[in-house]
Amino acid sequence: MSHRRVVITGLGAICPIACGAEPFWEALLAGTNGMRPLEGFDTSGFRTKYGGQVRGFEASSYFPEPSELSPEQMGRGSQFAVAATRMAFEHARLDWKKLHTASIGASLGTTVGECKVLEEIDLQWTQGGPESVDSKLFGRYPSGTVPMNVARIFGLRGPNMMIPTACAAGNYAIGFGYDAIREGRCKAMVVGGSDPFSLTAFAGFNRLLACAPEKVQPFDRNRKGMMVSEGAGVLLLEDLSHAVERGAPIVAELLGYGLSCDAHHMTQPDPEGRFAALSTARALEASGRRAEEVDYFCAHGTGTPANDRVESMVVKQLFGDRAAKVPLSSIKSMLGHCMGAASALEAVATALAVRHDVIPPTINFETADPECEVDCVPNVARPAKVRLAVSNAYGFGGNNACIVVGKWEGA
Amino acid sequence: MAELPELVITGIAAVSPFGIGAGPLGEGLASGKPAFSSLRLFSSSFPPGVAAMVEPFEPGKLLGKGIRLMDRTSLLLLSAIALDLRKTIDSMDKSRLGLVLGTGFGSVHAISSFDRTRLLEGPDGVEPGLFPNTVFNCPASQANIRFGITGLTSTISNGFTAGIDALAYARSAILWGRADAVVAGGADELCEEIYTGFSRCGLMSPSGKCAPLSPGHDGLLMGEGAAMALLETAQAAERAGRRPLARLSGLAQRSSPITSYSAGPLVEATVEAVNDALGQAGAAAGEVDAIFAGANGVPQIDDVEAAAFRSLWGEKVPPVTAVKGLIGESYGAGAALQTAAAVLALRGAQGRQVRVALVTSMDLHGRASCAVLRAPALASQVA
Repeated sequence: MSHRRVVITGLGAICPIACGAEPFWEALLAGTNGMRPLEGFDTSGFRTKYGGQVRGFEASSYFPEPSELSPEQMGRGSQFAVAATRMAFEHARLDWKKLHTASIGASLGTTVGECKVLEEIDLQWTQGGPESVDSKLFGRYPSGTVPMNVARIFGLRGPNMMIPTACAAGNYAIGFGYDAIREGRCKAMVVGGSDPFSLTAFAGFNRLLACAPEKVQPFDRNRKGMMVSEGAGVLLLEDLSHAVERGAPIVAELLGYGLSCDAHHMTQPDPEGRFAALSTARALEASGRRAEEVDYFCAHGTGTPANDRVESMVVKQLFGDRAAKVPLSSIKSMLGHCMGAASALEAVATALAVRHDVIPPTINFETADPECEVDCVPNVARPAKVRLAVSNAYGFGGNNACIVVGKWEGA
Repeated sequence: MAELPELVITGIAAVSPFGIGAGPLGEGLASGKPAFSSLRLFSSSFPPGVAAMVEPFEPGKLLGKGIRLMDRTSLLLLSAIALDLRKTIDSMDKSRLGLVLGTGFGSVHAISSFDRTRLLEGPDGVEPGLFPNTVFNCPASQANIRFGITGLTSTISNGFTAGIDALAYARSAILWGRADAVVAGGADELCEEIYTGFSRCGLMSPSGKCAPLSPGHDGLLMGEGAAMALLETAQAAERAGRRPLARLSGLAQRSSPITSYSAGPLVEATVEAVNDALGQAGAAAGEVDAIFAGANGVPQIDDVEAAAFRSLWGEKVPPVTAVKGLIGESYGAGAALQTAAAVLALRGAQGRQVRVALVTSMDLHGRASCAVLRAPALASQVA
């Protein structure tokens, strides 16, 4: 249908270990643990006191001047998304003020949307009834406002989508942007995901006994669970011809993506990981690549006993005899689980791994698990040729999405 | 994109304030009687105390067991599919079937209830079985699980336009070979949280009358429901012997990134989207027989659509049907129910010949989306 190619030209990242694509990459390679005792609310009664929070985030420093919209007029999810988008534009050396903005759109994912706004509504509601709630809060809650706020700040008139497919949402949003460019509906797309720290999610995962007490240890025999975190990841995708024409710095090529659905259980993965493997297989097929070519598998790797066991089975289904040899890592060991932003941040990390030929580590790894026969790049970043990488995400409800990133070596 | 295959709608599912099923929706719309009544789902001190509700609603009759912990949005969606589409999709290859749902809020009642329990009863007070209801993709995922749809799933949270934007997502999925067919549309529940929010934002009609595009319009009334279309290529439908109800010939979306509310850019975005969709359908503006507008009685929204129609057609605007005047504003389900109404009109439900129908929607966040539907090829020869 189309021979348009899609390249990644700009990256933005906000998460507990760093703000900005380059600091993020340095922190990943250094194996930085972003999990800290949580601040800002009472953690007594919860099974963990730890999680990921973006500290000292000054939204106003990322908002363009002058702007009719200020950070105070939107939720933290929108603020994160705007800030990460600005980073991506600057990283791509694209001056959004000079853009023909009809040909740029925004597609973002989330798990909980503007949860901080709703938590404030719920707090006021429980204290003084619905009459007491500050009416300004209601209009800031709908999650569809997040990509629209990005569009409003940067004047983007192209396709605008919010895809809230839980913890796989970032990859879904990236996929939508990829299609929009290939269909010729726009020249560039701001894609990714954003999620503020959600007390609802923290309480829910805590109650499901899914939270680790002190650290995230993906693929370790003694792993005890995931950790709730927050952040945003944004990638600027461009039609290759548009990028070449303006002399853009090309980070990597987005070769394709694949989706699937477990249709099994709201919170548990398919016990054999069949559909998760299918999403990766479909992504590779759509990209015209084979599993044998994959140099790096960026794992969903939440650190829960079930996810990592099943994901190891996924790797076996995909790579067969080579399964234990394909470098695989979980950056959630460092960032915690940034929900809908998680796969967007993993896409940023994957693009940089492909660009720089270094694989970020899985930290906190101590003891191998016979149920997880994988090379999880334990504790130390590893230089390695990365020509082709896949990044995988599995959300609640068995919503699976995988993207394929290839090295850019010229047209 | 010249070589795109033709897409058709071969099934419609709906739950609306007119009842369970696409049948009652068609009959209710044809009757022209508004479905509003006094609030019964919850009590509220906020005006106007009137809404269009799916009531009575006994999902257990259709769905049987396994629904005790499900949120209302999921139940509306599952009921619609179970009644109107289940038989069809059970005959299809579900590994090649997708489901794409537009929803504004998922179930904000479920999310807020869970969160308020956390606040009032602490960490151990929350019910783990209700936690899955707090993600926006819960309704779609529940439908995937219930009906065994494994091809793909997605959820779109684009406010009023989500129902059309879900169709656009589904179209891409089929065109790129990710699925052979997709069940796509929208669903949203009416709950105290949404009602309170709309009332406190000043969007609801203080007079308790929903009068879209009328001189006396002073706001919307809330509704709820679900509507889904089974979308596939004309070729696949023919092969399987599924008769097309309509052709989905054009879909477009524009954003109007306004920083403070102003009608001009939104009118422009709506006009551009309509022209784009008509262009895809190879239809001239003059060929449109009926418009199924998103107008909901909120003056800013109605005025934008009216101005866009005048800009496109001058004095000769085709007949406009604003279904929200009968069934209220059901947010993520809104544009999906408009689309269902358009499909029913193409089938002759309005008692007059409709060959080309336009569905329009815009939201106050700045999105403008529209769809162009054509009557099925050779419809006149179909018995």
